[in-house]
Amino acid sequence: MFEMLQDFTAFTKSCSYLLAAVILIAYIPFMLFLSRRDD
Amino acid sequence: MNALRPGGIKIAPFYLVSGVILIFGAVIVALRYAYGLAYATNLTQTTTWGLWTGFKLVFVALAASGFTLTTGVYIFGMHEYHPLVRPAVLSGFVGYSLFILILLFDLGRSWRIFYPFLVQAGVTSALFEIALCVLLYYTTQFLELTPVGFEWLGWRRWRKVMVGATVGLSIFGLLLSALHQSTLGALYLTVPGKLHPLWYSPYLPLHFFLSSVMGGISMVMLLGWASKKAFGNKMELSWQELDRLTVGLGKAGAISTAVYLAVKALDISLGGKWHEVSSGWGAWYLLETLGCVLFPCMVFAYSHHHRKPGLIRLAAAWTVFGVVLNRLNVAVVAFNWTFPTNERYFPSWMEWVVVVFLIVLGLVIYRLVCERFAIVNQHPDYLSH
Amino acid sequence: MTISRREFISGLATSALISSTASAGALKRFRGYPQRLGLLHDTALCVGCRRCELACQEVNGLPPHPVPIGEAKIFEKPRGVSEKLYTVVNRYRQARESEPAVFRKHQCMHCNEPCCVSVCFVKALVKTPEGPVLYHPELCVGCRYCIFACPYYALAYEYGDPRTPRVVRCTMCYPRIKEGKSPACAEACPTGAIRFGRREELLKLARQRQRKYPDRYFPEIFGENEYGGTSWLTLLKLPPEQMGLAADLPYEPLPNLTTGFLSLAPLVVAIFPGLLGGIYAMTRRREELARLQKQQELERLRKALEEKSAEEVEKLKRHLLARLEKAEFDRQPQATDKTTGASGEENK
Repeated sequence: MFEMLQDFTAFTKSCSYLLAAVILIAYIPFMLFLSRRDD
Repeated sequence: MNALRPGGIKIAPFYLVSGVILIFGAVIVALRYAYGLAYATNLTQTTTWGLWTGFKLVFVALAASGFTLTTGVYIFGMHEYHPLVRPAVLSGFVGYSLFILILLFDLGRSWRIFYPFLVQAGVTSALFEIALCVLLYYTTQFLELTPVGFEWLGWRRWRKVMVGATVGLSIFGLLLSALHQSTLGALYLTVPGKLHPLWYSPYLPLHFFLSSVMGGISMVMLLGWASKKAFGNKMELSWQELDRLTVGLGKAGAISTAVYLAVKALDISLGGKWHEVSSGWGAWYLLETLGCVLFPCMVFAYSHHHRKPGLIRLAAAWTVFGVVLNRLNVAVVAFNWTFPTNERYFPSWMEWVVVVFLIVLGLVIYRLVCERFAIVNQHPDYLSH
Repeated sequence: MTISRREFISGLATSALISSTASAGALKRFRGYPQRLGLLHDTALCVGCRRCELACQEVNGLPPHPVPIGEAKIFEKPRGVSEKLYTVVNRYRQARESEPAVFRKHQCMHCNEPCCVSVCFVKALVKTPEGPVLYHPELCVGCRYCIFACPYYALAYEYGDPRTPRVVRCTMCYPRIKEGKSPACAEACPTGAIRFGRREELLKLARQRQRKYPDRYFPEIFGENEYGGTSWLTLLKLPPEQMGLAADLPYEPLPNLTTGFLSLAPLVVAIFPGLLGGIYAMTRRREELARLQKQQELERLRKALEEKSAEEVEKLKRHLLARLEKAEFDRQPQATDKTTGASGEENK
């Protein structure tokens, strides 16, 4: 699919950055939910 | 104290001297924009990143006071250092502001700085990651400082909301800092042929992160001392309490410098660079690592054990000097090291003026904010539980 | 601003030290666009006439060089590319007895996996399927990371322009290529030292020449594999380190040195919140337990006082006093230390 390593890297990095953003945002309600019992 | 008296004509000597430097510096910056980089700098086609890049690295490394202290206090629960959090975060914020300014001055087209986010993102670039992380981290630090603003404005509910976000912001701050401190080192991974082997390492990002921790902790110690000297009784922390905290931070200083040294030693062995150490450049390398990291480490350890806050501050200043030296070595001194002297880059006097201008600007802003807002003292309406 | 050979010699030492960092792309070989074009520079045929320099300047609208063609004085010092000179011809050995002088033309190598392309954070540099690497000034922010990163020192910057400074370099005459013509330097070369065509074809041609004249050339075609290979191929008359290039360059593209580390960024985002959140939770737990313990102790004391057991009260009192003393002792500076006191001011 990719002729150049550069294209492969650009594609995978874009996906990964977006996924990382989703993971980060998902962490917030998750951690808040877990800490609710302690309060 | 020596605060500005609104409407009055008395101005502290600090501000007078700073004012002159700031005006002179602003003129040079204006000239840089009027006539271009060729006029203001000695950058060449073969050495395109110079003194300003070196100081970009310096400002970020020393602005690590913010994340080191919030991590220690809020994540590891060392609440006795709480009085130092606001000065540390403020100085971190000021440090990053200076970084952004010097970056803008160095860019060929400063006004396009938001292009990677607004127009097109080069995601394969280390610089993209740095830009993203710095943007987010600058915002994080700003948010960490909003309670100060809300106290001043008297907006209780907003203040309460932001204080509640402290732990989350601290976690986010450490995450972002670890990323961009190390990625600044990663910028240099791509030029193995241009950076001297003693400074080039595949682990350069790790070295940068670890040295930012020791630099940040040292800055907190120095800042505490300088603030107390400048603000006297306005600063609520007594000398005795400050000394006690300094001794405690000295332990962190000892550990962080020791870890850095261990990693650097392994870097030599992993890279098989022993023969380089005995060269002429090796002597300079040893001056930087043994002279300016090992010795302060030993002083930290000794003076923590014997509870000597004065010596700890000396070790802190020494460590800061070592971090500055390291960043300048990577960016300027050991870069393009094979070039003959007549082809090497030496910064122009205007480049130095801009650097000094920014440092003074940082000090002035820090002092102004501390005088007007509840940084070194608690706001009378919000005395803590 | 020169490209003396020494900075490239350092490259071989340091590059050899670098172990390749793992990256997902390293699991497969990327061959690049198959029909891409390139140029072959045969340094055995180059006579240093510099007509290529002149043609390049004409095509790019640059002012002609003050030193005219044919003036040998210009070769005394090696030159580098600049904002007025996108390509340079340097002399690497003077003529002697029966041997002519040795020259090489230097410019952007149009790498297969260009470093400049991967480090640009606005994607202003792009490797085209046709082969040339192109620059888009309308995107450029002027960070100059591309110039910084290029191992061949092939890019230059218009430092003198305050409003619209650009990164400048050889473009392989992309507009001309699109029209079906050759790059200006290839057309201008009188000896055929610059050949233009498909990279695969040029490689075959170069190997043919090496087979035909085995003593004439350095046994490796420079640009076939170095740093992933380049579109500009060079048949070297002398070893690379004597011709302003570096010897023993690794085959791995330079961007690979950074991508491995950059992959850590999303991983750190995935790990740190969990890790730090967990540490925070443990810290809170410890604080809670300490608070509970203190509460229990106070509870015990209260009950003992209520039950009026004098023994219990005495024991507890002594126990607590001892703990208090110890805590005080730990917090106070030691007697030998003269540094602090109520009025103490410690100066560095």
